[in-house]
Amino acid sequence: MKSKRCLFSALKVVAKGLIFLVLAASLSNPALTQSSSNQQNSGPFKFENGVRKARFLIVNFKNKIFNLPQGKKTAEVNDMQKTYGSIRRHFEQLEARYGKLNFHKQIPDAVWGDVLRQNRKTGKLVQLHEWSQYFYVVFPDFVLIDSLMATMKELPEVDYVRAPVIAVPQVTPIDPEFNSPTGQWNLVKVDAKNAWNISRGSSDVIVAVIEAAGGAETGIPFFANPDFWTGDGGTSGTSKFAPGGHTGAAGPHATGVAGIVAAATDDTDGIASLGWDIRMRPYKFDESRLPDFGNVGLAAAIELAIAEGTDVINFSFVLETFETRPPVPCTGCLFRRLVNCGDMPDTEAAIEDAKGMGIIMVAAAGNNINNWVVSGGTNCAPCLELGAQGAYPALNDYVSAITATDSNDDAVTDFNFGNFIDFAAPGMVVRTTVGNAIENFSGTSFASPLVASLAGLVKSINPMITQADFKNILITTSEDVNQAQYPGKDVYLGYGRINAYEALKYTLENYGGTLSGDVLLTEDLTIASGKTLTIEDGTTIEFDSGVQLTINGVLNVNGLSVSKVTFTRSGGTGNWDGIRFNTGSSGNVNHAIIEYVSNGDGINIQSASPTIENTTISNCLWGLNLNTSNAVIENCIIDNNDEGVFDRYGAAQYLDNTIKNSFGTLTDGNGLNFNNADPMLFRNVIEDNDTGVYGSNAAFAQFGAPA
Amino acid sequence: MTGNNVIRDNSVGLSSSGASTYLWLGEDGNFGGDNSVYSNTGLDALGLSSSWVWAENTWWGSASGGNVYGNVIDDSPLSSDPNSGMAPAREMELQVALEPTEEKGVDQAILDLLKQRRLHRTGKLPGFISILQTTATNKSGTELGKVARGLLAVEYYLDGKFDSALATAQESKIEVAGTELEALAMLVLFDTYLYG
Repeated sequence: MKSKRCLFSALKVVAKGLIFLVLAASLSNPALTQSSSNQQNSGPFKFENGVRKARFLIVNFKNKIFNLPQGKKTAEVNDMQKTYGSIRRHFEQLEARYGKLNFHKQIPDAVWGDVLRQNRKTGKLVQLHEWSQYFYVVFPDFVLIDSLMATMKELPEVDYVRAPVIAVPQVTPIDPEFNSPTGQWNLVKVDAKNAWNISRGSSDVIVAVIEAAGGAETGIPFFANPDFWTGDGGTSGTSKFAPGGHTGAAGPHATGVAGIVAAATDDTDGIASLGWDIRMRPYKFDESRLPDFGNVGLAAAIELAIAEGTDVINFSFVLETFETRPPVPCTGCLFRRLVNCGDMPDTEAAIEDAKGMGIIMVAAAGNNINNWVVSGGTNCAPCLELGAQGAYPALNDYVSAITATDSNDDAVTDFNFGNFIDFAAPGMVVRTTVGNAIENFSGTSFASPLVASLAGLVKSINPMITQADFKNILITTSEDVNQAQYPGKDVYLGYGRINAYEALKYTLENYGGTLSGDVLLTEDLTIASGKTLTIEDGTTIEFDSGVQLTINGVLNVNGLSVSKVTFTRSGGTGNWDGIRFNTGSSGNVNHAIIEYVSNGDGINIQSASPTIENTTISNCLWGLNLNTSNAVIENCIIDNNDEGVFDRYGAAQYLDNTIKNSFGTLTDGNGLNFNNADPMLFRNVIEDNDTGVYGSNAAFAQFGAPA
Repeated sequence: MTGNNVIRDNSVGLSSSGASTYLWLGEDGNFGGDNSVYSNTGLDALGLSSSWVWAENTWWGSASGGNVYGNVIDDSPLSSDPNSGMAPAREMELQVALEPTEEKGVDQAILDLLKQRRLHRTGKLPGFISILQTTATNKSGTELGKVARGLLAVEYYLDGKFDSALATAQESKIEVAGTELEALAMLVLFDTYLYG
């Protein structure tokens, strides 16, 4: 696997003084004009005489500089602990020069040393980063932040300091000729229908949509879009929002991304989402403004998502900043460039925390983004870098970078590309919620959330799946749709375009998981050795003809007397191939109904000894077929099978079962057929069979025990 | 430790065949006991060759022992059913999905025929051939009649009446050609040929 990430430890050597942000004074490329001019004097920066200024910096202290009570959001220089006189004097000097400083604690609930969190899915304690000393340092007015940062970095108590960044949503306007809705082809393309046959997601799984604020305050409330509600289509009913996060006003980009992740599905309100039953929790961050109005930076948004129990995080944006290039070969060139890992130590730390908590993260790989020269200097021309080398946060190794494909599975010609791209997903001209309506949108912004939604489904069937697992699943199951031109992983589509069905099936087979609700298996499902398939009570699994559930690992069927698990043929016809326990497998089948394996065994057990209890097996050629098994069959009804039980070479125990109506059309019609087996039987009722119990070939069946 | 198993209402309750096979239900004062074997329509127990059904201290539906044949030990029969009133375990809780009744009617007649055949093969239904002949004639053209004719061909074959077997099989095959019943008849033939 490639290594694209800038390691967090390496970030500590951020090139000192390398970044000098300056004003974009002139623009030679008209295509860049709008974007650049919009950014010059907005957001966090102010440019004067080619030098950037800002009103705040983001700093993390190594030591317990502040000892604030939990929940307190702001502090002053005077609140710095006196034991750290050196750094306190440094900030006193800054205050003397610039005016009163305020420290805004980004994560108010963080307490020094309180870095252990329990992963709610695994139950394990995870060590997170220290966030109690993570502050925005706010100045009364715009200051020359680059020189301030250069000095601050030299202080031994400072872990890191950085300037704010600009988030650029990766949305591309739609050409009119494309604006002809043809349905949600993106879901068809990733085989959502078959994926939903395996899982429609769990409402316990939460996908965080972290969005840059920007237009959020001027947008339409999320609540206005009926597709975030199930029920009457209004702003009531079952909410798709998980508690927490931010559900206020949102711009069209935010609602569009959220709709791809988790629009209410199976209703008449508009679109479906791959995630179906999963829930979504929007967060906003804004590093372009002062840390007031409740807004926070990206790292804090991630940490909040972690604290609120998020399972998946989607980043549909790319971060950019301004800098001046080093003196050679360019001098004084104002350069708008993509953020790299090294620029964001706090976000790197937060992403590491998220990874530690088992959260899956995906990010837009970027549309037509580049590093741009936005003002002239000396020898600036070579600075224009087309085909940027990366996009952050997609560049982080713990985040899967997602690019977009169109309905022909083609890459978009001028979109960002590079080795960092992991996977592709449909993202061009896709239907989604926009504001309070349904429209088409395009861009990697809308490909990434489709993968996030898939991650939600994967987490629904197996909450233990980590970022690394998820990546491996997608590496194995994504379709290499540009194989003809670029076989294998390539810089345009990474490992290929995702296939949701294949991803879920591969997850179950190779990582194990849980099935619930109504499931249809159209292909054999084989659980790998060492992996566990759990089936929740009330689940009905239908099998197409010839399809078998094979267990090499563990099968736990957790039915209840009032809520059984049913295994049956699909659509009331056909012959599926039953459940097979292979050598070395194990499990417990409890309160299940297994029926209509008309040409085979309801349960076939080969050199394994699972427990089958409280289960009804009917309308099979053989109800149970045991070979070299010490299985325990207890309190089952084995009824109306051609032969009830065929037991060879093992020493199974039969306790409190009813075995009846074995009619023997194609078999000998025995209730119990022991062939060289040594079973023990207690309290069974064996009735209305052709032959109740048939023993042969040195069988030794004990209907009791020594007195 | 007693077994308390109930084996009832089968065509044959217990059948032991092949070398050194034991169905061990009870040995007086030594093992198991308190099992119930009764109301099996053909035989309660059958022990063939050098195999055994050892079932002392068992309730056979009467205190005089079971309707048994061959190597069956039904000594010391119990005078009453130790499992009287024993219902199939939790049957009321576990509802079984059965085939529709209307299908059950046709199928059941065929199944009865097959069960009768099994009794015949164990020597308990000497009139089976005439039953097949009557059914094949009276029910000619029906599924039941076709099955009867197929089974009749099998029986002729097993009795060494190869000409009759061939003629009946051909007739049967013509009647059921291309249907599942043809496959059924052939499978019965194979089954009988292989396992007796």
